[in-house]
Amino acid sequence: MDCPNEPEPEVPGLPDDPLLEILSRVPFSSLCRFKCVSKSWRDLIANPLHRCKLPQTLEGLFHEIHEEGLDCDGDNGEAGSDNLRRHGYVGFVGLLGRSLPLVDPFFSFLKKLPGSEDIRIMDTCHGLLVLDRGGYTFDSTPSYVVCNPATRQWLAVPDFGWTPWPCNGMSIHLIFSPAVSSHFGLVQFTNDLLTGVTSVQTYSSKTGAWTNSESAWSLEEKQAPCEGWRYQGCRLQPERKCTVINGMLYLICDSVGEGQVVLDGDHIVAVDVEGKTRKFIPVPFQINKEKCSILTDFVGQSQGLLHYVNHEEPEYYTNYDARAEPSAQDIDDDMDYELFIWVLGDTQELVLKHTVTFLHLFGEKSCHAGTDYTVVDIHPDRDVIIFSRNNELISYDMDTKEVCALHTVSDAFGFASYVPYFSESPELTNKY
Amino acid sequence: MASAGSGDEKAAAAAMITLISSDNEKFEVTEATATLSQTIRHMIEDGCTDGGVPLPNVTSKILARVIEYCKKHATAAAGEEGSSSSFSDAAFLEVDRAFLEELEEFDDAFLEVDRATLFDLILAANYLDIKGLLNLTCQKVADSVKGKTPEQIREMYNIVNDLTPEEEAEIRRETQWAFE
Repeated sequence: MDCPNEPEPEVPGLPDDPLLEILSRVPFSSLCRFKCVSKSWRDLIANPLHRCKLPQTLEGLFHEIHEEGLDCDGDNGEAGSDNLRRHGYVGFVGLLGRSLPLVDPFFSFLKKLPGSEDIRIMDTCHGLLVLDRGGYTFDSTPSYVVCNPATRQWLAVPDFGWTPWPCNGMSIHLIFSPAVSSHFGLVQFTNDLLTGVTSVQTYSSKTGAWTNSESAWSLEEKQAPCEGWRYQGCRLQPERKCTVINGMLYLICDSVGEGQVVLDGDHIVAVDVEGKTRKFIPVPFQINKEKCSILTDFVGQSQGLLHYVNHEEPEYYTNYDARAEPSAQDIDDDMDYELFIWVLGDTQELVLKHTVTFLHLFGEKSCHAGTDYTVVDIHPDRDVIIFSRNNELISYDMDTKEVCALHTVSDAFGFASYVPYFSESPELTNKY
Repeated sequence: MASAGSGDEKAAAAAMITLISSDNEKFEVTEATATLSQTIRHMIEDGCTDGGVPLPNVTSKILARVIEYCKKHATAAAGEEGSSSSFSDAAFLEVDRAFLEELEEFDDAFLEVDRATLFDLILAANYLDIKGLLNLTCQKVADSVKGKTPEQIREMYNIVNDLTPEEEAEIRRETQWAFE
């Protein structure tokens, strides 16, 4: 790795600095190819000093660990656990086959922080993580920490300054788009137990303060047409993931509000850093088979574009609790149920990108989302989807149609993808 | 408010800076235009701009283009400061939007240059530390190279491949998917 003398700039008249400026603006896949241009390009791209400038790719997945799984408490001894590392309730699976992880997935840099032994990963965004050190207790008040494992920087986010009311659900999301702004924001949704209204609280690293939609927004802001879903009792589905593109947070909103269908299918909600809903995009759910339901799996980002995944499953999977014994007429053995990958095009409509049968993916004609499999992530730079199924991580390549077992991950859930970000952020004021 | 504004403008107009290109051509610019360059801003702060600022790395042809960019964007920066003070009604937003569109058109037209000029502009933006111009020009090159193969890049920029076949095969093996 030693860099002897300054290599001769190969692009006529273009020294390393401007060349780096250009390379910092190409996608990761181009960067991989450009290593083949010449020795000096290869060395420039491979130089660890340039990591903070150049685009990075999916390094691995953080995840939570079921509590019973914590008993065995160790990184050693388990089959295939070389890349499976743990801290508190959090684990990490490296996907690039490194012998040593590029960053510190143990959060050792947080050790001085009280409560850091009980951290949970809430969300990741562009190399930053938001952790909750309030632990697992149901009624505990969250206490958030934002950190960057690559630079070992962190910030304990101040408390809200008001008491959270009894709520059905709470989810917290990180918005960080260094190309748009050096500041990061937190967006928290709480669903009121009594009224069913979803309110939104935002934290801005610029002001260092929380804002609550219900107290700080004007009537006009609250009644903006896009905000309707929050008052119709519709619930967000953070377990279907979320993603940030160009400073905008995208999540899935359920069509059911207060026990009845109030929307025409699920929707993708686009929320800005102030917590305001900017777009409300219906998802495609055309049913091509008899006695079949279409269900949302996932929303994520690949190659800068919003991707959405849904699938078909037999109606009786969802109509009865716990997959009750179906009647003979419910079962159609000839039916091959499919998974669909959609991409949000220039027209702001979801366009079908790829279709694959469960038979091809998992060797079964149909699968029940959640029980049989979960969509963990879509690769940010490749047409690859990662699933978890029976304690295994499985990848599917849309180009080669190859299905590949990646890792065994017993008792892991709640995966969060991690792409390192090596630049220091002045707003994460603590550094180990 | 209005009188204070015009007073400021007068003060800014009074402060002129002379930039001297490598081929000894002199360019008179306002301080507001010149300080888009962090390099020149620091020189002004250090009080070493009397008698002109020699720029031995920048030709008059390129410097003229750089100044053209800075003039346009200095006006834009001044406009932004003015409008974001307390006005937020539709009329002002409309003006902002029109101005931003105009600026975008200017940038697009500005980039209609041959590859050698584009590289010279990048070098000048890098040397003068003009963030907006560096971003604009580098993005233009990045967009033109991102879909290319290593062979196409070598051809475009006259680069000799000095990797051994083994080295090249190893790089391709590491990230096979990127080459498909």
